[in-house]
Amino acid sequence: MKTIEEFEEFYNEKIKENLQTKDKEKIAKEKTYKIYFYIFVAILGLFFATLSVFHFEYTALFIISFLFISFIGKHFFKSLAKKPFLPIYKEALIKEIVGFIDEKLEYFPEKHISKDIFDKSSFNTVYDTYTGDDLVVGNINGVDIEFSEIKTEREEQKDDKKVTYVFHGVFFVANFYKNMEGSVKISPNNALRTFFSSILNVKHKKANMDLPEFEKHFDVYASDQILARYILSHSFMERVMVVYKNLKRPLFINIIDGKIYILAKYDTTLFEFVGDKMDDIKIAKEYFYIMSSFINIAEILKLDLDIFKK
Amino acid sequence: MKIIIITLAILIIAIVMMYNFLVRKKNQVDNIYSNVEVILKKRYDLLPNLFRVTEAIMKHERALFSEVASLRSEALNAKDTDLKLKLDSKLSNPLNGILVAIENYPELKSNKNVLHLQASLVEIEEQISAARRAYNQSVTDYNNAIEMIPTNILAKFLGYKQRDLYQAPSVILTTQAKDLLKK
Repeated sequence: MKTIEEFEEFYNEKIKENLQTKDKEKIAKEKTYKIYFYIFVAILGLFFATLSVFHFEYTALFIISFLFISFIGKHFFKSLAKKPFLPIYKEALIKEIVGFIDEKLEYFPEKHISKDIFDKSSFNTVYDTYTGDDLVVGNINGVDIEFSEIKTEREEQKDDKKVTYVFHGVFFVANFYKNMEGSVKISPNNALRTFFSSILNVKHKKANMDLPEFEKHFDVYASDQILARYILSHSFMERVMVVYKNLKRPLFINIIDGKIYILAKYDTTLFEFVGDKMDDIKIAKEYFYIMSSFINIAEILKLDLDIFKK
Repeated sequence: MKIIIITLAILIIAIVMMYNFLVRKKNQVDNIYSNVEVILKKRYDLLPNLFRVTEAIMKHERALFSEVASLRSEALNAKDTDLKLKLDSKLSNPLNGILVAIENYPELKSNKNVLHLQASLVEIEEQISAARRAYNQSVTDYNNAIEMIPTNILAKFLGYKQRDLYQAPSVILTTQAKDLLKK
């Protein structure tokens, strides 16, 4: 596993210079767009000035409109100048991070894990649209892994209002090393769900685990009580806790048909160019940390422990 | 009069709910036990194969073989649940002893059949360990239910008795066996 200090060194040696060059290109582009913006403001000002000559009584409204449109215009031109650099950022930083963690891994900025795989994972997420990006695919210690950012959206009509539910997260898939029939679902503690599971005849019954720290953070539901303990040995639960502490996010894990699916919930989109400058070591370190936390899941969970062979 | 009827109705509902709760706990123990039996049977079925392949060569381990064989036959014939589980716990130790002793016999270590049997037994041992944890959890829930107020009153009336936990063997060597397999 690569450390944050090693990454910092790699960043300063291999990435920084390139990002600084791109930043300079971006500043040059912004200057051009600034000129476009000034021309736009001048034309807009002329337009409202002409209007106020004929409709003097609305001058106050014209001034407010002028200021408002100028404000919107400023952001529009700024985003136009930034747009070509969004894919460049991913190539210059995110791809480099992935390669630094493990050079055998492949990174596809525009792709995501397929909808079919997401549906198979059985996370019970109802959605209208499924999108995503930043797909990482590869083999870690003999285990095929893939993960990507995903976003699901669902619209609902509530009292004449349209409400949109959005789920942002990182979706991880790998082979699981134990032979099994049935499924085990691990999710953050939810007292209401536990209550309904105990009184309703649902397929997945709650399985109380005998590791207090794990039980404090997670609920386990399984199609078979013995299967739950077979999958969640003490050492496996401890390893899940390590993943949980590394990611520091609400974690959902489903183990079905020889595959392990992990869904980590995030509030915002990840691995994007968010600030003004591309050369930002703080953000780069954060992305490195998140990326390596996911890449190391296979190693932490010891998914290569396939001693019985399927 | 109304109050008496309402009180009676609440009392009946409470008794029905308590009864269902107790039955659910008892059935859960029985249900998991039946799965435990299936896994134990898998292990008992594998033992004759292991003996056939290894016994002739492992002459110094005769005592272990005869101990396993006698415990196996006792466990297979046992009718009582608790006794069956106790016998199985006793059987795990000499069996693991055989699995580890195999390492001292190079001709067995390289035998594919032995390796396959070892791997199967280690896998079954893991399943038994999982079954033991599930069974003990359900027994604990059941024992709590028949001891706690107010379900203990109904449990006593129904004749429900405490169940024993499924004890883990005193020495577990499966991890060592697994390590040996990985070499």
